[in-house]
Amino acid sequence: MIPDFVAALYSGRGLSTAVAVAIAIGAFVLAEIAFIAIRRRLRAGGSAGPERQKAAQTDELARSRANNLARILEISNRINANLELQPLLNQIVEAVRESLGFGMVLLRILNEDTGCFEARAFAGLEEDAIEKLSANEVPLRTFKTWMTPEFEVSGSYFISHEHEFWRNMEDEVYVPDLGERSNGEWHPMDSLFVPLWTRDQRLIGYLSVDDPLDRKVPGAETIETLEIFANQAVTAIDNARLYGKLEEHIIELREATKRLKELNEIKSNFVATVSHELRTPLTSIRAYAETLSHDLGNSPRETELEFLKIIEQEAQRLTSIVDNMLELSHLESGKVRMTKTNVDINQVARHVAQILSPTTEKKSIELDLKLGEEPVVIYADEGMLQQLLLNLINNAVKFTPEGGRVGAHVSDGDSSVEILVEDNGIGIPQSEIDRIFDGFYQVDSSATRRYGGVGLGLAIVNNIVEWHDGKIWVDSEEGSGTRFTVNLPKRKAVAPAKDEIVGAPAECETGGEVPELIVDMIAEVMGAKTASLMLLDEESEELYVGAAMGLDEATMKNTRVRVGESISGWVAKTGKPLLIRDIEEDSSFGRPNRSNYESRSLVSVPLRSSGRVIGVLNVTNKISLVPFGENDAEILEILADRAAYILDKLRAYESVRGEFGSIVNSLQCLIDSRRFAFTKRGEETARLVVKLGRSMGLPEEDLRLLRYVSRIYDVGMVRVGDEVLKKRGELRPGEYESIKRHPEAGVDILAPIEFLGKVKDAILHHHERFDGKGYPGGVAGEQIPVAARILAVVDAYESMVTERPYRKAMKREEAIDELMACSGTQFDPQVVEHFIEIIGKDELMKQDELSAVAS
Amino acid sequence: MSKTRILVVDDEEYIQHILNFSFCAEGYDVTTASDGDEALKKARQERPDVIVLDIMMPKLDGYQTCKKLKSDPQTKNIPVILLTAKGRDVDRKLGKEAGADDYVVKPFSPGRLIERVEGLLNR
Repeated sequence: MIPDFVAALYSGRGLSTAVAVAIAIGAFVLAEIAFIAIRRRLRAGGSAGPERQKAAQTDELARSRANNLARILEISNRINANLELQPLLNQIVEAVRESLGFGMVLLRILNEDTGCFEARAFAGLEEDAIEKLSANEVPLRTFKTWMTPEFEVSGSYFISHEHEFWRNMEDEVYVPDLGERSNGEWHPMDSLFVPLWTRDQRLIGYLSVDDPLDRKVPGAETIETLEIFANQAVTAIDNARLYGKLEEHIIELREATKRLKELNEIKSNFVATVSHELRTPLTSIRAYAETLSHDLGNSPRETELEFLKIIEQEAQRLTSIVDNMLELSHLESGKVRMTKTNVDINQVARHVAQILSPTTEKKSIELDLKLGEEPVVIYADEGMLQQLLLNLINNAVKFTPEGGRVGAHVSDGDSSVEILVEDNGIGIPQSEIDRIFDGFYQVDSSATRRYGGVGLGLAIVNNIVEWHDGKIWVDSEEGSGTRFTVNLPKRKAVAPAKDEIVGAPAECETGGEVPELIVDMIAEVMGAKTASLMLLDEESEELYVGAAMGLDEATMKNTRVRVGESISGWVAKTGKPLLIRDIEEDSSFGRPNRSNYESRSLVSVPLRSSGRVIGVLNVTNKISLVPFGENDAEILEILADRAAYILDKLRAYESVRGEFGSIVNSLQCLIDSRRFAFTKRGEETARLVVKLGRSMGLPEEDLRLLRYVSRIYDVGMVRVGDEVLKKRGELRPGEYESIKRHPEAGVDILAPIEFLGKVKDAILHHHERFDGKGYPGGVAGEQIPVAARILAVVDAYESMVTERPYRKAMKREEAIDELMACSGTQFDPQVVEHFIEIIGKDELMKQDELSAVAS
Repeated sequence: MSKTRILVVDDEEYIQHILNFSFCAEGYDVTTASDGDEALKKARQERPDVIVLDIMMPKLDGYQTCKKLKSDPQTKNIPVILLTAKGRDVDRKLGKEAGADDYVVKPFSPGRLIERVEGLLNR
């Protein structure tokens, strides 16, 4: 072993050999040794002690030095080989105890969150001492009062009992029982410690020693060696921290690369299958057209007509493939503006039956509509609902042989509506059933082609269901038929402005609907597939589902979680937020079933009212499939504050009418604004805004708020009419005015639920100009809140690079040129400068990732 | 002289139909099949002079069908032309490996397909 080898090598020769070995082994150790050597020489010049001449003593000293060196080398090697911190720290304190001859050694590390030094490694200490030392954390402020120049020795501090420094602090220190001690010997109240400084002069801990075995107050030699061990500890801690950070980055990068690869693969598959799908009708068209033109007049007229009809049909098929592809890509891009109104599904179903009647008649299929007399009303996008029913019924008709039967049934429930479409057609093989909603994955199915399908219809249906927070499932038996069931949650329409709320529904008076809206709003702002609000039943110490989005009613009714158990229970008990990026990669959870609906990524945060935990908010799975991250956890915490605030208000004002109306209106507007705020763009805006804020040196607290504000700042747009937003041509003055009012509208909408002035200010001023010519306040320069100045730049950039109904997307370079052109007039030049810098870096990173994928 | 007999295999009804029409017009005796299994059966029964075989088919695809045809002593001497909806090199290679004698890329011209079939038969 190296340590023994060094010692043996040394015993006959000079120290230089050991140094040479050290040089060979690590530059790190070399630096330490050079340091001792220089100090020693300096001191030797000052005091020419005669005892230095004593050969035996020198030999003893050198031997012990060689031993120390061996230990240091050993540790140094371990630092390089092992990045796990705790075993290393244990080894360091053990080495100090053995090599330097101290009875007790303690190492404390500064916890930056609490500002206290925590005991992390011990040597030679009894159990009860360890317990006491661990319980007693030393605040940084206190520690600093110990580090006075008066006590400084080399880089360490020695406080002699004679100073009586600890007299009034006996509670804070641990005084070992060392037995009787005479004058001049190490005293139990003596203390010696070395602060742990990093290279950039950050204090990260300290090492303290007690009970030297020779009972002497340690000399400079020992203290210097002690400092070398301390330095080892610094390196170990630093390495471990760096490694931890590196690992985080690596995980992030690996995930990003994995996702890019997946996307790339999906894209290639898509291109291959789509080109195949397009070629099939094209082949028919070309073959028939060519045959017709070569043969014109030679074949019977009926044959020619038949050929023409086939060409027409195949052209129609081609068109519908292209239409469906566009429709699906539109739905999947998230760039959908839903126009929700109260829709009677029965009426939509009747209309669809009418559209399809030529097809059903042709195949002599009986379309059996089972609809009740009463209208079944849900709050939904009518166009989408029609498409949903059309695709489902059309599909059923297609896969049912002539003379078959297709049934459509709509039934009304308390909180949801069920639509059932069944046929007695060919059915779906069990092996295919999981993939039928996948769209691009399965277009290449000859069965669908044979039945004239495109294979995208169900993918579109699935998307529409998702946009309505509903569920769809399928039961099928090959050869005997298929049944699709769609469950859509009912939502009541809420009047667009608060003063229009007259005679709100009865349940609104008790605020019964508010928790539902809270989870909806949270799901929308977080871009989550499901959200749930769990409330604490203090008597039974259980959490129950107060409201949820994306969970079925049975789950909602039956779920009760004991405090302390499972995820929500843990969060309720500890009051700490919990983020699980990917449950499959998190070893602390067992693997649940691998269905499509399982929770992969989730955030759970406590809901607090005047300091007490009153419930838990959960969100699972982002719609974008990206896992949740720290940012999401932060935003959810902010939203939890709002939710608790609203719930508090509801309790306090239970008798006041109108209050609920305005809260309900606030939430509904926030939900609606997110629906058309082009969700994917929203996430990118949030990301850039925070990056920009950080680059400008904003404090962490402000970044938190920025992150939150960037997700909700355009809520006022819901008051701008659809006809204005979707308009292609120039805006009339009145229309422009209505757009100009949206920041104020936003603040107005949020008033009942938003209690932070900073949030309101940022939203109110995000359309101000740096030269004071903006709206609504006309404030200029630094008077505009910095958050608003940042939002203005990112919002402008993102909107320039996004395609709009009235114009194409600009290239990145063009958008940057535009920002620069408006720097100083519209935008804060400093913000623009920082922004261009981060965008440049972003682009480089993206290129790196892409090339990583390509390789 | 008896008519040249051709087996046309495609799962797309319209394409089967137009191939049937075109080859009939050229004086061929046409048999059709809609999938690989049917194609193998008919090839053994009818012993056609040439086979036009689509690649993208359910169950047994064109490559697999072609391999089976070429490994069966009863059918291995019948020339096979593949109809492929993909025009990529990898498909050409797969076709060759499966033992196909020629291939035509979709969307194809019926006139050109007939020329290719005749070319194969005269070889």
